[in-house]
Amino acid sequence: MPIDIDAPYKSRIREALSDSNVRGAVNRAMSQLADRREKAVAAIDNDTMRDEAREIREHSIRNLPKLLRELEVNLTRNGCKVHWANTDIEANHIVKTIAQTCGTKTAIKSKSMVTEEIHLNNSLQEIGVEVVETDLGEYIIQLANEPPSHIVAPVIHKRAEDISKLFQKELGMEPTLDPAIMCEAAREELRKYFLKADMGISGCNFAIAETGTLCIITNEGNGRMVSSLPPVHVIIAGIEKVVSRVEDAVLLWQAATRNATGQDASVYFSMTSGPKKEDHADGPKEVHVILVDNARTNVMEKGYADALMCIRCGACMDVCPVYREIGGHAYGRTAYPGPIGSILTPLMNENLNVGKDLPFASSLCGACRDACPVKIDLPRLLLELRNDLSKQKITNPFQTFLVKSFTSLLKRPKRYLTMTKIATLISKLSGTKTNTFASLPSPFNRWTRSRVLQKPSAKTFREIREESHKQLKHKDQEMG
Amino acid sequence: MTLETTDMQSLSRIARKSILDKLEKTLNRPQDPFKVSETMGVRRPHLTPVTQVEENSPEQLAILFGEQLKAVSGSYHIVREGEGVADAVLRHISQIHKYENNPECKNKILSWNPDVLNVSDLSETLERNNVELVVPNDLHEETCRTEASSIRVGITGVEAAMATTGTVSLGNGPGMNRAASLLPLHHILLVPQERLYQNVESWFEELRKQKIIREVLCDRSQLSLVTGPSKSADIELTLTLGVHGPRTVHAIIYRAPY
Amino acid sequence: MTPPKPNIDIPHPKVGLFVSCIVDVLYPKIGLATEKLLVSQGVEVVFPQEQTCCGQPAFNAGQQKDSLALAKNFLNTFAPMIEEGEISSIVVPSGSCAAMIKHSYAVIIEKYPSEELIRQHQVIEHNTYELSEYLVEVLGVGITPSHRPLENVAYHPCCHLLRDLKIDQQPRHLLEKLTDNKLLSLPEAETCCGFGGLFSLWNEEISVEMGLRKVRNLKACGAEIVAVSDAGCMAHLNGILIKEGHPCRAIHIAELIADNGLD
Repeated sequence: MPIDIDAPYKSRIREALSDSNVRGAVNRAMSQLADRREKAVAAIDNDTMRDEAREIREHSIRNLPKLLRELEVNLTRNGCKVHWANTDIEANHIVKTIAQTCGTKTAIKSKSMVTEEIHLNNSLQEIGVEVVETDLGEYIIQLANEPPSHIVAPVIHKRAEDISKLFQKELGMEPTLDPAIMCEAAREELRKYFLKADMGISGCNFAIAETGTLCIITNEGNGRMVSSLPPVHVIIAGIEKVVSRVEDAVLLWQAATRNATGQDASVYFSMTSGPKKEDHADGPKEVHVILVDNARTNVMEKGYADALMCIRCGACMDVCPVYREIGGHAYGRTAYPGPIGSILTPLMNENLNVGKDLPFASSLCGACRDACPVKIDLPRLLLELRNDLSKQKITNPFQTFLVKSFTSLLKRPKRYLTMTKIATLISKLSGTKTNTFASLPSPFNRWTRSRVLQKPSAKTFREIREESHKQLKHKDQEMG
Repeated sequence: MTLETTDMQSLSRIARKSILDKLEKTLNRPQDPFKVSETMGVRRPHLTPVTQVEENSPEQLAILFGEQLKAVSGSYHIVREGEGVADAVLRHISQIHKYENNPECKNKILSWNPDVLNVSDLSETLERNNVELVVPNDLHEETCRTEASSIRVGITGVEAAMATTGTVSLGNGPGMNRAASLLPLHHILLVPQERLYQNVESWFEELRKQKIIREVLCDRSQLSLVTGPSKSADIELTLTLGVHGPRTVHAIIYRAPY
Repeated sequence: MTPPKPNIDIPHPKVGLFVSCIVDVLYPKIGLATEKLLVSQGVEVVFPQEQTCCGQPAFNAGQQKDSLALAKNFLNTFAPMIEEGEISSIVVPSGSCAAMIKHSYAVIIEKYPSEELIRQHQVIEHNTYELSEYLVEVLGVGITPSHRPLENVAYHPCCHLLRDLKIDQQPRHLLEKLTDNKLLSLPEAETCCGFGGLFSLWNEEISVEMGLRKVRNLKACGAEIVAVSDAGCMAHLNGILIKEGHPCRAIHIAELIADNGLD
């Protein structure tokens, strides 16, 4: 049973930590992904690839308006229809209008995080369009009516048994634990939809400005199917996806695949530039590209443009020791979990309150920063977000008070000394049987519930040092 | 054009202006919108290829390409002197037939137009062995689509093949359909040795030099870089082949012109 | 493993010692061991009494304005000593404090700049060393274990030391010498222990789970001692080890070296 992602932060964490099945699944999956990533980046000059990827993405974000205009010109030249949307509502409205105009009955989708953000599926279903996810992982969670828990491997929280039961129920599959048979069942079922769908909807990994080309990474081939078989193809791209040149996309593609799944190359990298030509036997007759903002300009305006460089590889969550323990659903109702999600989720919601606990759900170990293929300084962004939240008084007032008091005591040497004297006094009064506290009052009970706490020493370092120096002086005087 | 579409278009124009204005305003203000800037938008003129090798003779590249393809669950065969490409195709089909035990595998192949395939005696040799190359005309047309989707083997050429990753480049074009490499369970690639490149980057570099990079991408409407058979690891990270795309990919590498 | 070349340019260096508040109050032995180590290498140690806390807790809590006061206190204490030539370096037996001082102070000062602060930070930035870094890189310390080589020792690299300051081979070099090259290989060594400062209180459940994972890994490799560079990680790990009734103990590298082996 997945946890209630709409529950408050603390209960999500508790639920997540107490579900040993999900924890086991997440742990196994993340270890494997992290290992594969490690091998894949060790096999190449990763430092150079990261430097170059960073250059490309920083350049893209700093030149977004120019590149978006160039992209639009070239897409239009190629025969695509280009649309722009400020918000999720606008984006959904555009897709619905296209669907209504084309008389769409069935739409097939390949995996797209931005369509998760805007809740596109619900929107289309409202006007009676059947929407079928074709990425195996997304298809599984669609059948199970659950949200994804990881941006690259959405169904990593489920075991084979869970998926088998689901397929038996929904597809009438024979009981089996063999993933090959399960995949065959999904392949057969989804092949029907691939062939009959009248609209294909996909996201886009990179949008090449100089040629008007949209790139989609898949391993299954559903990206190719979605962008080739139906007569209408709708591509939804976050505005931050744009890159300047073809070579940029080629490098970032390999950076993404190595970091996401440890592959040298994804099985498919589809570079779509427009609808089919007259003399082509297949391909969509209409291609619509929707460039979506949905709070990305807010992220930049708030001073977190770094986060827009993200290429959605998922490496940060694969190496995150916190994600490893709590899994993706504990991050709540958001398209983005893990380290990058802890930054994007609070920033992309008008009310900074949403996800306000997420920037604090990190020990700031820095593993994510070391893994990120575009060198986003994730811990720094988390720290700045904490600072912003604190300034806006959205943080835990008790924590703020405690920290303020502590700081105020420590900034003056005299106050500090008084505080240390009190601490050593408390320690002496608590008896000398043990040198640890097994339990303490709030808020320090948060420590002692599962750990013992070292008692303050009977004498502080400076007291001991001062005494021993006095003794030495005495000795010198005696001898001298 | 309906009321809805005009409405949609004007909303789109408004959104466009609002997005671009906001971006420009943010980027032009004195305070850097980045928390940590490494490059300030400066970039080096040439990118380093992610994978590189010493080998560069066509023979060496052929083997490297084949081995890389094999490493991702594909297979390959390098046609020897005196051996026929069409024969190699036939041999592979009978292998599939053994594996599949399905009569349809033996008789029909979804294909590109043989003129584009650059193997001069391909259709004749295949026909002599009761194998028909089916070249779809218009996959939006129902009978064509139904026939195409029932065929279990597909055969295509390539724009290029890249050795370091075992990747091929497939594009749409007159006589070159996407379906042949997409719908069937088994995909056969005809790879002329002269189209082998060291890596993906060198192929694009060549196109760039010839000033046809935009042309190739746009004329092809969709260019796909394909590396081996389709796969998924969504179920407990266990690798399964043939989820949606072909389950087997077999490259026949030969010296052209043939 | 060949040790990095020593960088001794001053015959009798004089350093300022910053112990950190947690060492001062909870683990004075770490401070004493640090001083003993430095003195034994011919270093004169000065302990300015005005020092308090480096300001990490406030900074990590997102209260950068509050941490500014502590940064100022540190800089006012130590920068003049360097500027006036009283000391040549500052030595800190804590990776996280050293990282705070060298890197995070720049972040705070960028928000609340003043000429004095900028100058003071420039003065101390490249003269502040974490202990193992100072011992190996500046002093070129050799170690001959004074007793039998230590056995069943693992090394847990604290995150700020490892990733922020990129210091790893130096403590390992020292520990290999102490253990006669038999330092244990700790599974998932580079995974965070879960302390994370205030994270250990405000996200205690996750913090403890991460600590338990580290403890499982320590058990798996048979460690009796796990060497650490940060007192915070030490408090967290020992807190769990003792509660779990497991005999392994986390000990600061300063103490391990001071008690077990010096030239």
